[in-house]
Amino acid sequence: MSYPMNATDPAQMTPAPDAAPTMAPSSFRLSRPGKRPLTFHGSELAMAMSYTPELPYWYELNIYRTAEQKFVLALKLFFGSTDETDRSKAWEFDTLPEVFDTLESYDAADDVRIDCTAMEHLSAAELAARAYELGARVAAQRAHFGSIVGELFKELEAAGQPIN
Amino acid sequence: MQGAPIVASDVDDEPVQEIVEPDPNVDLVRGPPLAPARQLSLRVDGARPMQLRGEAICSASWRQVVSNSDGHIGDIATCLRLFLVADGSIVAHVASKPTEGLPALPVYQAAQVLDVEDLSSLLDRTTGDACFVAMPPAARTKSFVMSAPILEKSGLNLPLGPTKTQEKAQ
Repeated sequence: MSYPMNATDPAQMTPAPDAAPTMAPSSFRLSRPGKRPLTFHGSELAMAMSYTPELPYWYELNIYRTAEQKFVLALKLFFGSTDETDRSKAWEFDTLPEVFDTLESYDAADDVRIDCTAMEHLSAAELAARAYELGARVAAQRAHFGSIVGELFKELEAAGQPIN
Repeated sequence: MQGAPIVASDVDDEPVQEIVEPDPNVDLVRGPPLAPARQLSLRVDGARPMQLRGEAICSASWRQVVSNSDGHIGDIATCLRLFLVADGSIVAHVASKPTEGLPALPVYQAAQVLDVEDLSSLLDRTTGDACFVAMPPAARTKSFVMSAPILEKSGLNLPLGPTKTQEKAQ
């Protein structure tokens, strides 16, 4: 399955964050795994993206304010390879601090996919190597996500948004 | 790998926001602070910025040339700053930024420093190849060697008292 927001050119994906405060409200439809898409009318408050050409994947984070004065957090994970499927998650909250708490507590290890094929034929040493590699991938995913979360908080603060 | 000195502004022009105002809560029993305490905000990966009231007491910046088996060569510029907080504690903030074109992301961390070993631990987590941690292992170099005593390279002489190891020896 592929989400409708699949894209490889980040310039085509999201409006510039500078334009967010003055943007007219728009309709949004965000995919969520295992749930109906989250649809709402609102405007984008903030966006951060970890796109680096040399990295095989990147995150995009968006925060929206809905017409009902609620807040939506969208988390998208894009892959440079066409062999991988981009992923999207979205949550709705009553307050911004709840959005921030979710960003801080989100465990990016959930985004690491595990290849469990032919595991029963592996030797103990090979299993240990797989476990070591998995641990490294989890650390990489968490560090990558932590970097963009720190950037988003700092930019929100620079824009005058109370965070703490 | 080498440690060419650079100026702090090359590395870290964004992590610290300062709001200049006198601090009415400064403990006068300990004497006046080094300068009027300021409200500081330090960028930290994965978390809200660390807020504190204090002053920067010293900083050190350096650049490391790194390369890997995939042919990526570039600089990691690091800025370490120490802050004296109004309550008398010391907080260290490290910002490491890779040059463009590297498969790496910047790293920002801050921590209270009670001991020189705390600072060493913070630097180990944040400098050099720490920026490459965000690279998935399948594409990451295996040949990085970045565990040199960065503290010595930075030339810092910190009045932080004896280390835990020294205390045990005493």
